[in-house]
Amino acid sequence: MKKICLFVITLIIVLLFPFNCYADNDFDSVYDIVPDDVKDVFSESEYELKSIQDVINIISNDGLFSLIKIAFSNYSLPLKTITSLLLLSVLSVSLQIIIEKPETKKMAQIISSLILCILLAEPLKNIIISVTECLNSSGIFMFSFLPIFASFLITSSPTTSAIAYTSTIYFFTELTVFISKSVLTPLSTFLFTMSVVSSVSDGIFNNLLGGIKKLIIWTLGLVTTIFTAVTSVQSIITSAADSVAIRTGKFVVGSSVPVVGGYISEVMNTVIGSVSIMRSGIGLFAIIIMIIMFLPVIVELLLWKVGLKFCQMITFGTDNEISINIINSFDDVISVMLSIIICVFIGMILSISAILVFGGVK
Amino acid sequence: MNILSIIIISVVVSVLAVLVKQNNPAYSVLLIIAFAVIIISVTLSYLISLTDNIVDTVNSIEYASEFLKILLKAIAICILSDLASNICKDAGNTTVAVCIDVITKIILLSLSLPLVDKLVEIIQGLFNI
Repeated sequence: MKKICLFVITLIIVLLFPFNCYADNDFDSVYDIVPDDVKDVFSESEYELKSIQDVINIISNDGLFSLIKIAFSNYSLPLKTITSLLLLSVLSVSLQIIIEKPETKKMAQIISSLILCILLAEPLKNIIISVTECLNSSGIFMFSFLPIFASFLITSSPTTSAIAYTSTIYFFTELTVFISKSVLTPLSTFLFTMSVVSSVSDGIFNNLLGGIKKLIIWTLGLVTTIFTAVTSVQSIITSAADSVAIRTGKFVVGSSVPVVGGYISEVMNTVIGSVSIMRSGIGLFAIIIMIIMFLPVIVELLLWKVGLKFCQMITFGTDNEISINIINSFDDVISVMLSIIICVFIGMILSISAILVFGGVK
Repeated sequence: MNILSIIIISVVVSVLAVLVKQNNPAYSVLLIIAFAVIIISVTLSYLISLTDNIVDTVNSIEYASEFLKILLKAIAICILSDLASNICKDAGNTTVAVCIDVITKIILLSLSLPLVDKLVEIIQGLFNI
């Protein structure tokens, strides 16, 4: 009864005091929603992002490359850390060879594995923080950008489907960012910690770890599939020609992107189609912002992947199974992080292009 | 001292040890201990410069050099205890050799305790993100 009363009172208040909601068509309002990190990059460069003309200037004058360069200079890439870790893993593995006695060797292996684990866990903390920050700021940007974007479309070509579609896309973008940030990222941290515990205790949690890994892969696959299904514009925005370049791209993505490479490879046509649709005005604006936001994080994760591959190569020749397991579990976490970031990035491109298509942009 | 001279000295010492052992086994053990001390002190200078180089290289990570020192200490303990244990076994004192092995394990365990503490701290930090 109380709930009904509360609902009726709220309804009366809303009806008595209506408020107007409108979107500002000034491009400055779009620039206001740009994350602070990206704003810093623009303030350091010679480019501005105050009008559609500025967006075109950036693209036509190769400004994107200089913007990316500034974004990378602001972002501290972990090259020194990776090199030092590589050296340490070489050292910890090679020094054990000196010891002959099996019991003493086992103790030295445990100590070196513990050190390796500590040295990998500290950067992992920073990686998780940067991935979460990237997801946060991209989520906030998209939640602010989508309504403004829809209002731009409505004023340019008033179509009801664009309005109806924006709310659906809005909901699914929010859901994807929420799942990635609140479920998948903590789950991958849990995966790493359990892997460490399992490595030093003769793999007692291996079944549980396998389950967690499957859960993460399944969730990521589901998010990608739902996004493609919800946007359901595959037939509209998929580029007609399945050229050799696209097929090569599909193969490269399928084999190089971890965890969700297969899913992304399948929606490759849709993504390429989406980017070609977004080659106009405000779509380009979104692409520029997203590239500046996502690229440094993706490159950092890729660098870690390469560094860990070298670490794996070094440790695989030895009998130090604890170190091998720790490096593998760290590699798993990096793969999951990379796939989360790529999934969200692709999801956002698909959302914007879907709204563009339904807004009548050809 | 190069490797060739080390090899020559090692062979001479082992032949001498066998010869001395027939008349006076105690002197044989003393000879081997003296040889081990000389060889370790000679190679120590190489090890110190190697360690300094490694520490300098990993100094870019603030916490790495601290753990590297622990690793090097553990390796040094393992090598020295192996040597001492083998000398004791050669002298026929198996019990002393076993004692050295046990003490080594306890010392290594105590060395690894701060590492476990640090790891737990980091994992707690990971869950608090």
